[in-house]
Amino acid sequence: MLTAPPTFRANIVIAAEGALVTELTHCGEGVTTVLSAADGVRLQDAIKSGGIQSGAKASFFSKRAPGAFLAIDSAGKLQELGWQKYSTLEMLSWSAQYLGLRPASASSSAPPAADRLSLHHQTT
Amino acid sequence: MNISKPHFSVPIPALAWHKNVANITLPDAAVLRSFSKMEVENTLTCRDAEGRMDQSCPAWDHNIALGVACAPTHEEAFALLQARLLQEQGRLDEPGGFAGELARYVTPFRRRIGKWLTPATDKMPMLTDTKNRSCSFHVQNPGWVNSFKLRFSGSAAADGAPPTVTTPLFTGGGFTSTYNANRTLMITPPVCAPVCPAGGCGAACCPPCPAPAGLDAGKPRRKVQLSFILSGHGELMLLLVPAVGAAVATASADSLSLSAAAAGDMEFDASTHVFDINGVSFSWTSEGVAGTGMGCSKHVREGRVQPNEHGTWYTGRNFWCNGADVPVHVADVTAAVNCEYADPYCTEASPVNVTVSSSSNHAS
Repeated sequence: MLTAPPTFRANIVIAAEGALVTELTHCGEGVTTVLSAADGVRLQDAIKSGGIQSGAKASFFSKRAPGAFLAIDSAGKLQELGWQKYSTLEMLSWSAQYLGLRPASASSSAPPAADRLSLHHQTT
Repeated sequence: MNISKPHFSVPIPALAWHKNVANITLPDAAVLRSFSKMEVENTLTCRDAEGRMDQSCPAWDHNIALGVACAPTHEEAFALLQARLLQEQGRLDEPGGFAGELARYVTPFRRRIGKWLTPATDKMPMLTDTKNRSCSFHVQNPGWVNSFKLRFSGSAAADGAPPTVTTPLFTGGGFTSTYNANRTLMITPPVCAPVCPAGGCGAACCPPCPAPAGLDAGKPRRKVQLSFILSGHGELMLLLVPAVGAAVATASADSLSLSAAAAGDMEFDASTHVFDINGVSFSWTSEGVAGTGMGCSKHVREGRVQPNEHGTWYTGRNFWCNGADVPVHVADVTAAVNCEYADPYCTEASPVNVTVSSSSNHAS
Protein backbone atom coordinates (compact mmCIF):
# COMPACT_ATOMS: atom_id res chain seq x y z
CA MET A 1 0.00 0.00 0.00
CA LEU A 2 1.30 3.39 -0.89
CA THR A 3 1.42 6.03 1.78
CA ALA A 4 1.61 9.69 1.20
CA PRO A 5 5.06 11.14 1.73
CA PRO A 6 5.42 13.21 4.85
CA THR A 7 4.91 16.92 4.41
CA PHE A 8 7.52 19.37 5.62
CA ARG A 9 7.64 23.08 5.60
CA ALA A 10 10.84 24.17 3.91
CA ASN A 11 12.56 27.48 3.50
CA ILE A 12 14.90 28.30 0.67
CA VAL A 13 17.14 31.26 1.33
CA ILE A 14 19.00 32.79 -1.59
CA ALA A 15 22.29 34.49 -0.89
CA ALA A 16 22.76 38.02 -2.10
CA GLU A 17 24.78 38.58 -5.23
CA GLY A 18 28.47 38.34 -4.35
CA ALA A 19 27.82 36.97 -0.86
CA LEU A 20 29.11 33.64 0.36
CA VAL A 21 26.66 30.88 1.10
CA THR A 22 26.51 30.71 4.88
CA GLU A 23 24.91 28.12 7.07
CA LEU A 24 21.66 28.97 8.78
CA THR A 25 20.97 26.96 11.85
CA HIS A 26 17.48 28.32 12.28
CA CYS A 27 15.24 30.31 10.01
CA GLY A 28 11.62 30.14 11.01
CA GLU A 29 9.75 26.86 10.99
CA GLY A 30 10.89 23.77 9.12
CA VAL A 31 13.90 22.82 7.09
CA THR A 32 16.12 25.57 5.75
CA THR A 33 18.57 25.39 2.93
CA VAL A 34 20.68 28.13 1.44
CA LEU A 35 21.40 28.59 -2.25
CA SER A 36 23.99 30.73 -3.92
CA ALA A 37 22.81 33.78 -5.82
CA ALA A 38 23.39 32.03 -9.15
CA ASP A 39 21.46 28.92 -8.14
CA GLY A 40 18.75 31.14 -6.74
CA VAL A 41 18.34 32.89 -10.07
CA ARG A 42 18.06 29.54 -11.84
CA LEU A 43 15.46 28.34 -9.35
CA GLN A 44 13.43 31.50 -9.67
CA ASP A 45 13.58 31.30 -13.44
CA ALA A 46 12.45 27.68 -13.31
CA ILE A 47 9.51 28.58 -11.12
CA LYS A 48 8.53 31.47 -13.33
CA SER A 49 8.85 29.51 -16.54
CA GLY A 50 6.78 26.73 -15.06
CA GLY A 51 3.99 29.14 -14.36
CA ILE A 52 3.84 28.10 -10.73
CA GLN A 53 1.95 30.64 -8.71
CA SER A 54 1.37 29.09 -5.34
CA GLY A 55 4.44 27.00 -4.69
CA ALA A 56 6.68 24.28 -5.94
CA LYS A 57 7.59 20.75 -5.01
CA ALA A 58 11.12 20.33 -3.80
CA SER A 59 13.02 17.23 -2.74
CA PHE A 60 15.36 17.55 0.18
CA PHE A 61 17.73 14.74 0.82
CA SER A 62 20.71 14.04 2.99
CA LYS A 63 23.63 12.16 1.63
CA ARG A 64 25.61 10.25 4.21
CA ALA A 65 29.32 10.79 3.86
CA PRO A 66 32.35 10.57 6.08
CA GLY A 67 32.46 13.88 7.86
CA ALA A 68 36.21 14.15 7.81
CA PHE A 69 38.80 14.88 5.19
CA LEU A 70 42.35 13.62 5.28
CA ALA A 71 45.60 15.06 4.07
CA ILE A 72 49.24 14.09 4.35
CA ASP A 73 51.37 16.76 5.94
CA SER A 74 54.96 17.63 5.09
CA ALA A 75 56.17 15.09 7.67
CA GLY A 76 54.28 12.31 5.95
CA LYS A 77 51.68 12.03 8.69
CA LEU A 78 48.01 11.69 8.09
CA GLN A 79 46.11 14.68 9.32
CA GLU A 80 42.40 14.98 9.65
CA LEU A 81 41.10 18.24 8.29
CA GLY A 82 37.76 18.15 10.00
CA TRP A 83 34.37 18.79 8.52
CA GLN A 84 33.54 20.75 5.44
CA LYS A 85 30.92 23.41 5.96
CA TYR A 86 30.78 25.11 2.61
CA SER A 87 31.42 23.97 -0.89
CA THR A 88 34.54 26.10 -1.05
CA LEU A 89 38.16 25.28 -0.46
CA GLU A 90 38.35 27.56 2.52
CA MET A 91 38.56 24.62 4.91
CA LEU A 92 41.87 23.70 3.31
CA SER A 93 43.31 27.15 3.88
CA TRP A 94 42.14 27.14 7.48
CA SER A 95 43.78 23.76 8.01
CA ALA A 96 46.96 24.93 6.34
CA GLN A 97 47.06 27.99 8.55
CA TYR A 98 46.52 25.93 11.68
CA LEU A 99 48.92 23.10 10.87
CA GLY A 100 51.53 25.59 9.73
CA LEU A 101 51.68 27.01 13.23
CA ARG A 102 52.47 23.68 14.82
CA PRO A 103 56.01 22.37 14.93
CA ALA A 104 56.67 18.88 13.63
CA SER A 105 56.81 17.47 17.15
CA ALA A 106 53.29 18.59 17.78
CA SER A 107 51.96 16.32 15.05
CA SER A 108 53.62 13.22 16.45
CA SER A 109 50.34 12.06 17.92
CA ALA A 110 48.93 11.74 14.45
CA PRO A 111 49.01 8.20 13.09
CA PRO A 112 51.64 7.46 10.49
CA ALA A 113 50.22 7.44 7.01
CA ALA A 114 48.20 4.27 6.28
CA ASP A 115 48.41 3.05 9.88
CA ARG A 116 44.95 1.90 10.98
CA LEU A 117 43.58 2.98 7.64
CA SER A 118 41.32 0.49 5.94
CA LEU A 119 40.32 1.08 2.36
CA HIS A 120 36.85 -0.22 1.69
CA HIS A 121 36.49 0.94 -1.87
CA GLN A 122 39.65 -0.11 -3.63
CA THR A 123 39.81 -0.26 -7.36
CA THR A 124 42.20 -2.19 -9.47
CA MET B 1 51.54 30.38 19.02
CA ASN B 2 55.20 29.47 19.24
CA ILE B 3 55.61 26.50 21.54
CA SER B 4 59.29 26.04 20.75
CA LYS B 5 60.44 29.18 22.58
CA PRO B 6 62.93 28.58 25.42
CA HIS B 7 61.19 28.40 28.75
CA PHE B 8 61.28 26.90 32.23
CA SER B 9 58.67 24.18 32.25
CA VAL B 10 56.65 22.92 35.20
CA PRO B 11 54.58 20.04 33.83
CA ILE B 12 51.55 18.62 35.52
CA PRO B 13 52.19 15.03 34.44
CA ALA B 14 49.40 12.62 33.59
CA LEU B 15 50.41 10.35 36.47
CA ALA B 16 49.90 13.17 38.94
CA TRP B 17 46.21 13.35 38.21
CA HIS B 18 43.89 11.40 40.46
CA LYS B 19 40.52 11.85 38.87
CA ASN B 20 40.53 15.60 38.38
CA VAL B 21 43.00 16.72 41.06
CA ALA B 22 46.81 16.78 40.85
CA ASN B 23 49.03 17.59 43.81
CA ILE B 24 52.30 19.20 42.78
CA THR B 25 55.13 20.67 44.81
CA LEU B 26 56.23 23.73 42.91
CA PRO B 27 59.84 24.89 42.52
CA ASP B 28 61.20 27.52 44.87
CA ALA B 29 59.23 30.75 44.63
CA ALA B 30 62.38 32.80 44.03
CA VAL B 31 63.11 30.71 40.94
CA LEU B 32 59.66 31.31 39.50
CA ARG B 33 59.81 35.00 40.35
CA SER B 34 63.02 35.34 38.39
CA PHE B 35 60.89 35.07 35.24
CA SER B 36 58.74 37.87 33.92
CA LYS B 37 56.10 35.83 32.17
CA MET B 38 53.96 32.75 32.75
CA GLU B 39 51.83 30.86 30.24
CA VAL B 40 49.67 27.77 30.56
CA GLU B 41 50.22 25.20 27.81
CA ASN B 42 47.38 22.77 27.25
CA THR B 43 47.24 19.92 24.77
CA LEU B 44 43.78 18.51 24.31
CA THR B 45 42.70 15.09 23.19
CA CYS B 46 39.63 12.95 23.62
CA ARG B 47 38.98 10.62 26.48
CA ASP B 48 38.79 7.37 24.53
CA ALA B 49 42.20 5.73 24.49
CA GLU B 50 41.58 3.66 21.39
CA GLY B 51 40.26 6.26 19.03
CA ARG B 52 42.60 8.51 17.18
CA MET B 53 40.05 10.08 14.94
CA ASP B 54 38.05 13.24 15.40
CA GLN B 55 34.86 11.23 15.04
CA SER B 56 35.27 9.70 18.50
CA CYS B 57 35.46 13.07 20.27
CA PRO B 58 32.44 14.60 22.01
CA ALA B 59 30.15 16.41 19.63
CA TRP B 60 29.14 19.23 21.94
CA ASP B 61 31.18 22.08 23.34
CA HIS B 62 31.78 22.68 27.00
CA ASN B 63 34.06 24.76 29.18
CA ILE B 64 37.28 23.39 30.59
CA ALA B 65 38.72 25.24 33.57
CA LEU B 66 42.08 24.77 35.27
CA GLY B 67 42.26 25.99 38.85
CA VAL B 68 44.75 25.89 41.67
CA ALA B 69 44.96 26.28 45.43
CA CYS B 70 48.34 26.45 47.19
CA ALA B 71 49.18 26.07 50.88
CA PRO B 72 52.10 24.97 53.08
CA THR B 73 51.04 21.30 52.81
CA HIS B 74 49.16 19.27 50.21
CA GLU B 75 46.48 18.44 52.75
CA GLU B 76 45.84 22.12 53.36
CA ALA B 77 45.94 22.92 49.66
CA PHE B 78 43.41 20.19 48.89
CA ALA B 79 41.15 21.37 51.71
CA LEU B 80 41.30 24.92 50.38
CA LEU B 81 40.50 23.70 46.88
CA GLN B 82 37.54 21.68 48.13
CA ALA B 83 36.21 24.63 50.10
CA ARG B 84 36.36 26.87 47.03
CA LEU B 85 34.67 24.35 44.78
CA LEU B 86 31.99 23.67 47.36
CA GLN B 87 31.27 27.36 47.46
CA GLU B 88 30.73 27.42 43.71
CA GLN B 89 28.88 24.11 43.45
CA GLY B 90 25.63 24.39 41.55
CA ARG B 91 26.03 28.12 41.06
CA LEU B 92 27.76 28.04 37.72
CA ASP B 93 26.35 26.38 34.65
CA GLU B 94 29.70 25.53 33.07
CA PRO B 95 33.22 25.01 34.46
CA GLY B 96 35.09 28.21 35.21
CA GLY B 97 34.34 31.29 37.21
CA PHE B 98 35.80 30.26 40.56
CA ALA B 99 38.51 31.79 42.70
CA GLY B 100 41.90 30.36 41.79
CA GLU B 101 41.10 29.84 38.12
CA LEU B 102 44.27 29.78 36.01
CA ALA B 103 42.94 29.25 32.51
CA ARG B 104 39.73 28.47 30.71
CA TYR B 105 38.94 26.85 27.37
CA VAL B 106 35.90 25.96 25.31
CA THR B 107 36.15 22.53 23.71
CA PRO B 108 35.76 22.06 19.97
CA PHE B 109 32.94 20.32 18.22
CA ARG B 110 34.42 16.88 17.68
CA ARG B 111 38.08 17.66 16.93
CA ARG B 112 41.07 16.43 18.92
CA ILE B 113 43.83 18.76 17.80
CA GLY B 114 43.71 21.51 20.40
CA LYS B 115 46.90 23.05 21.71
CA TRP B 116 47.06 26.43 23.38
CA LEU B 117 49.51 28.76 25.05
CA THR B 118 47.46 31.00 27.27
CA PRO B 119 48.94 34.08 28.98
CA ALA B 120 48.76 33.76 32.76
CA THR B 121 51.37 36.19 34.10
CA ASP B 122 48.67 37.92 36.10
CA LYS B 123 48.05 34.60 37.92
CA MET B 124 51.67 34.21 39.04
CA PRO B 125 51.01 35.43 42.60
CA MET B 126 48.89 32.33 43.16
CA LEU B 127 51.99 30.19 42.52
CA THR B 128 54.82 32.27 43.93
CA ASP B 129 54.08 32.62 47.62
CA THR B 130 57.20 31.53 49.48
CA LYS B 131 55.22 29.65 52.15
CA ASN B 132 52.69 27.94 49.91
CA ARG B 133 54.65 25.54 47.71
CA SER B 134 52.19 22.63 47.84
CA CYS B 135 49.54 23.12 45.21
CA SER B 136 46.40 21.22 44.28
CA PHE B 137 45.47 21.67 40.65
CA HIS B 138 41.94 20.98 39.58
CA VAL B 139 40.49 20.55 36.12
CA GLN B 140 36.90 20.32 35.02
CA ASN B 141 36.89 18.70 31.60
CA PRO B 142 33.84 16.73 30.63
CA GLY B 143 34.82 14.07 28.08
CA TRP B 144 38.30 15.37 27.30
CA VAL B 145 41.90 14.78 28.36
CA ASN B 146 44.25 17.70 28.95
CA SER B 147 48.04 17.78 29.32
CA PHE B 148 49.04 20.93 31.14
CA LYS B 149 52.39 22.65 31.56
CA LEU B 150 53.20 25.90 33.29
CA ARG B 151 55.75 27.75 31.19
CA PHE B 152 57.92 30.47 32.70
CA SER B 153 59.98 32.71 30.43
CA GLY B 154 61.54 36.16 30.18
CA SER B 155 63.72 37.80 32.76
CA ALA B 156 62.31 39.66 35.75
CA ALA B 157 65.58 41.56 36.04
CA ALA B 158 65.56 42.66 32.43
CA ASP B 159 61.86 42.89 31.59
CA GLY B 160 60.36 43.91 34.92
CA ALA B 161 59.08 41.90 37.83
CA PRO B 162 55.82 39.98 37.57
CA PRO B 163 52.92 40.64 39.94
CA THR B 164 53.44 39.22 43.39
CA VAL B 165 50.09 39.72 45.13
CA THR B 166 46.64 39.00 43.76
CA THR B 167 43.34 39.92 45.32
CA PRO B 168 40.18 38.29 43.96
CA LEU B 169 37.33 40.67 43.23
CA PHE B 170 34.40 38.78 41.75
CA THR B 171 33.49 35.27 40.72
CA GLY B 172 30.99 34.15 38.10
CA GLY B 173 27.24 34.02 38.02
CA GLY B 174 24.23 33.69 35.79
CA PHE B 175 23.65 36.58 33.42
CA THR B 176 20.27 37.51 34.80
CA SER B 177 18.71 40.70 36.08
CA THR B 178 20.68 40.30 39.31
CA TYR B 179 24.04 39.83 37.64
CA ASN B 180 25.26 43.30 38.58
CA ALA B 181 24.19 43.05 42.19
CA ASN B 182 26.93 43.01 44.82
CA ARG B 183 29.69 43.86 42.41
CA THR B 184 31.06 46.85 44.25
CA LEU B 185 33.99 46.36 46.56
CA MET B 186 36.25 48.47 48.69
CA ILE B 187 39.74 47.06 48.62
CA THR B 188 42.68 47.88 50.75
CA PRO B 189 45.67 46.84 48.77
CA PRO B 190 48.90 45.91 50.47
CA VAL B 191 50.96 48.95 51.26
CA CYS B 192 54.10 47.65 49.73
CA ALA B 193 55.54 44.21 49.39
CA PRO B 194 58.47 43.57 51.70
CA VAL B 195 60.59 43.00 48.67
CA CYS B 196 63.69 45.08 48.35
CA PRO B 197 66.68 45.11 46.11
CA ALA B 198 69.46 42.74 47.06
CA GLY B 199 71.12 44.11 50.15
CA GLY B 200 68.13 46.33 50.73
CA CYS B 201 66.28 47.15 53.88
CA GLY B 202 64.30 43.98 54.54
CA ALA B 203 60.72 43.81 55.74
CA ALA B 204 60.85 47.35 57.09
CA CYS B 205 61.70 48.77 53.72
CA CYS B 206 58.42 50.45 53.12
CA PRO B 207 58.43 53.20 54.06
CA PRO B 208 60.87 54.42 53.20
CA CYS B 209 62.51 52.21 50.66
CA PRO B 210 65.52 53.60 48.87
CA ALA B 211 65.33 53.40 45.13
CA PRO B 212 67.48 50.61 43.74
CA ALA B 213 70.58 51.73 41.93
CA GLY B 214 69.93 52.44 38.31
CA LEU B 215 66.17 52.79 38.70
CA ASP B 216 64.67 55.71 36.91
CA ALA B 217 63.29 57.85 39.70
CA GLY B 218 60.61 59.22 37.41
CA LYS B 219 59.32 55.81 36.46
CA PRO B 220 56.53 54.35 38.55
CA ARG B 221 57.76 51.31 40.41
CA ARG B 222 54.39 49.95 41.30
CA LYS B 223 51.82 48.89 38.82
CA VAL B 224 48.16 48.00 39.24
CA GLN B 225 46.48 45.76 36.71
CA LEU B 226 42.92 44.64 36.29
CA SER B 227 42.66 41.23 34.69
CA PHE B 228 39.72 39.00 34.04
CA ILE B 229 38.57 35.98 32.12
CA LEU B 230 35.16 36.44 30.55
CA SER B 231 33.25 33.90 28.51
CA GLY B 232 29.56 33.69 27.90
CA HIS B 233 29.17 29.98 27.50
CA GLY B 234 26.79 27.50 29.08
CA GLU B 235 23.87 25.31 28.30
CA LEU B 236 21.19 27.82 29.17
CA MET B 237 20.59 30.47 26.59
CA LEU B 238 21.43 33.98 27.71
CA LEU B 239 23.03 32.78 30.89
CA LEU B 240 26.33 34.31 31.78
CA VAL B 241 28.62 32.30 34.00
CA PRO B 242 31.12 34.93 34.92
CA ALA B 243 34.18 34.13 36.91
CA VAL B 244 35.64 37.35 38.02
CA GLY B 245 38.76 37.01 40.06
CA ALA B 246 40.37 40.34 40.57
CA ALA B 247 43.60 41.05 42.22
CA VAL B 248 45.74 43.58 43.87
CA ALA B 249 49.36 42.67 43.67
CA THR B 250 52.52 44.25 44.86
CA ALA B 251 55.35 43.16 42.70
CA SER B 252 58.98 43.19 43.51
CA ALA B 253 60.67 46.53 43.03
CA ASP B 254 57.50 47.87 44.57
CA SER B 255 55.24 47.54 41.60
CA LEU B 256 51.61 46.98 42.43
CA SER B 257 49.27 44.93 40.35
CA LEU B 258 45.51 44.68 40.52
CA SER B 259 43.87 41.98 38.48
CA ALA B 260 40.36 40.68 38.13
CA ALA B 261 38.61 37.94 36.18
CA ALA B 262 35.11 37.24 34.86
CA ALA B 263 33.24 34.56 32.82
CA GLY B 264 29.73 33.81 31.52
CA ASP B 265 27.25 32.28 29.07
CA MET B 266 26.17 34.24 26.09
CA GLU B 267 26.61 32.83 22.66
CA PHE B 268 25.67 34.94 19.67
CA ASP B 269 24.51 37.89 21.75
CA ALA B 270 26.93 40.66 22.64
CA SER B 271 27.48 42.15 26.06
CA THR B 272 29.40 45.04 27.55
CA HIS B 273 31.27 44.95 30.83
CA VAL B 274 32.41 48.02 32.68
CA PHE B 275 34.86 48.06 35.55
CA ASP B 276 34.73 51.32 37.42
CA ILE B 277 37.80 52.04 39.50
CA ASN B 278 37.69 55.21 41.54
CA GLY B 279 35.42 56.78 38.96
CA VAL B 280 37.50 55.76 35.97
CA SER B 281 35.78 53.32 33.66
CA PHE B 282 37.40 50.47 31.80
CA SER B 283 35.07 48.66 29.45
CA TRP B 284 35.06 45.67 27.16
CA THR B 285 32.39 44.74 24.66
CA SER B 286 31.76 41.90 22.26
CA GLU B 287 29.60 44.15 20.10
CA GLY B 288 30.63 43.71 16.50
CA VAL B 289 32.06 40.24 17.14
CA ALA B 290 29.36 38.11 18.80
CA GLY B 291 26.98 36.86 16.16
CA THR B 292 29.08 37.81 13.16
CA GLY B 293 29.21 35.21 10.41
CA MET B 294 32.91 34.45 10.52
CA GLY B 295 34.13 36.12 13.71
CA CYS B 296 35.86 33.07 15.20
CA SER B 297 37.43 31.87 11.95
CA LYS B 298 39.70 34.94 12.07
CA HIS B 299 41.62 33.39 14.97
CA VAL B 300 42.68 30.24 13.12
CA ARG B 301 45.81 31.87 11.77
CA GLU B 302 46.87 32.72 15.35
CA GLY B 303 46.57 29.05 16.27
CA ARG B 304 43.93 29.84 18.87
CA VAL B 305 40.89 28.34 17.16
CA GLN B 306 40.81 24.80 15.81
CA PRO B 307 39.39 24.95 12.31
CA ASN B 308 36.78 22.80 10.57
CA GLU B 309 34.93 21.62 13.63
CA HIS B 310 31.70 19.71 13.37
CA GLY B 311 29.41 22.66 14.11
CA THR B 312 29.25 26.41 13.63
CA TRP B 313 32.71 27.05 15.04
CA TYR B 314 33.39 29.98 12.73
CA THR B 315 30.58 32.21 13.96
CA GLY B 316 31.62 35.07 16.25
CA ARG B 317 30.71 34.52 19.89
CA ASN B 318 30.59 36.47 23.12
CA PHE B 319 34.23 36.71 24.27
CA TRP B 320 34.89 33.06 23.36
CA CYS B 321 35.16 30.66 20.44
CA ASN B 322 34.70 26.93 20.11
CA GLY B 323 37.96 25.02 20.22
CA ALA B 324 39.86 27.93 21.75
CA ASP B 325 41.25 29.22 25.00
CA VAL B 326 39.30 32.04 26.55
CA PRO B 327 41.25 35.29 26.33
CA VAL B 328 42.59 36.89 29.48
CA HIS B 329 41.88 40.62 29.48
CA VAL B 330 44.45 42.80 31.24
CA ALA B 331 44.43 46.57 31.67
CA ASP B 332 46.87 48.87 33.41
CA VAL B 333 44.78 50.78 35.95
CA THR B 334 47.61 52.23 38.02
CA ALA B 335 46.58 55.81 37.49
CA ALA B 336 42.97 55.08 38.43
CA VAL B 337 43.80 53.40 41.70
CA ASN B 338 45.64 56.25 43.31
CA CYS B 339 48.49 58.51 42.46
CA GLU B 340 50.29 57.17 45.50
CA TYR B 341 50.85 53.99 43.60
CA ALA B 342 52.79 55.84 41.01
CA ASP B 343 55.14 57.12 43.69
CA PRO B 344 58.56 56.02 42.55
CA TYR B 345 59.98 55.81 46.05
CA CYS B 346 57.17 53.99 47.77
CA THR B 347 57.01 56.47 50.59
CA GLU B 348 53.32 56.16 51.38
CA ALA B 349 52.52 53.76 54.16
CA SER B 350 48.77 54.33 54.27
CA PRO B 351 46.56 51.87 52.42
CA VAL B 352 44.79 53.05 49.30
CA ASN B 353 41.11 52.35 48.92
CA VAL B 354 40.07 51.02 45.56
CA THR B 355 36.46 50.72 44.48
CA VAL B 356 35.74 48.31 41.68
CA SER B 357 32.35 47.60 40.23
CA SER B 358 31.43 45.43 37.31
CA SER B 359 28.32 45.81 35.24
CA SER B 360 27.13 43.90 32.23
CA ASN B 361 24.54 44.81 29.68
CA HIS B 362 22.73 42.71 27.18
CA ALA B 363 24.01 44.76 24.29
CA SER B 364 22.10 43.40 21.32
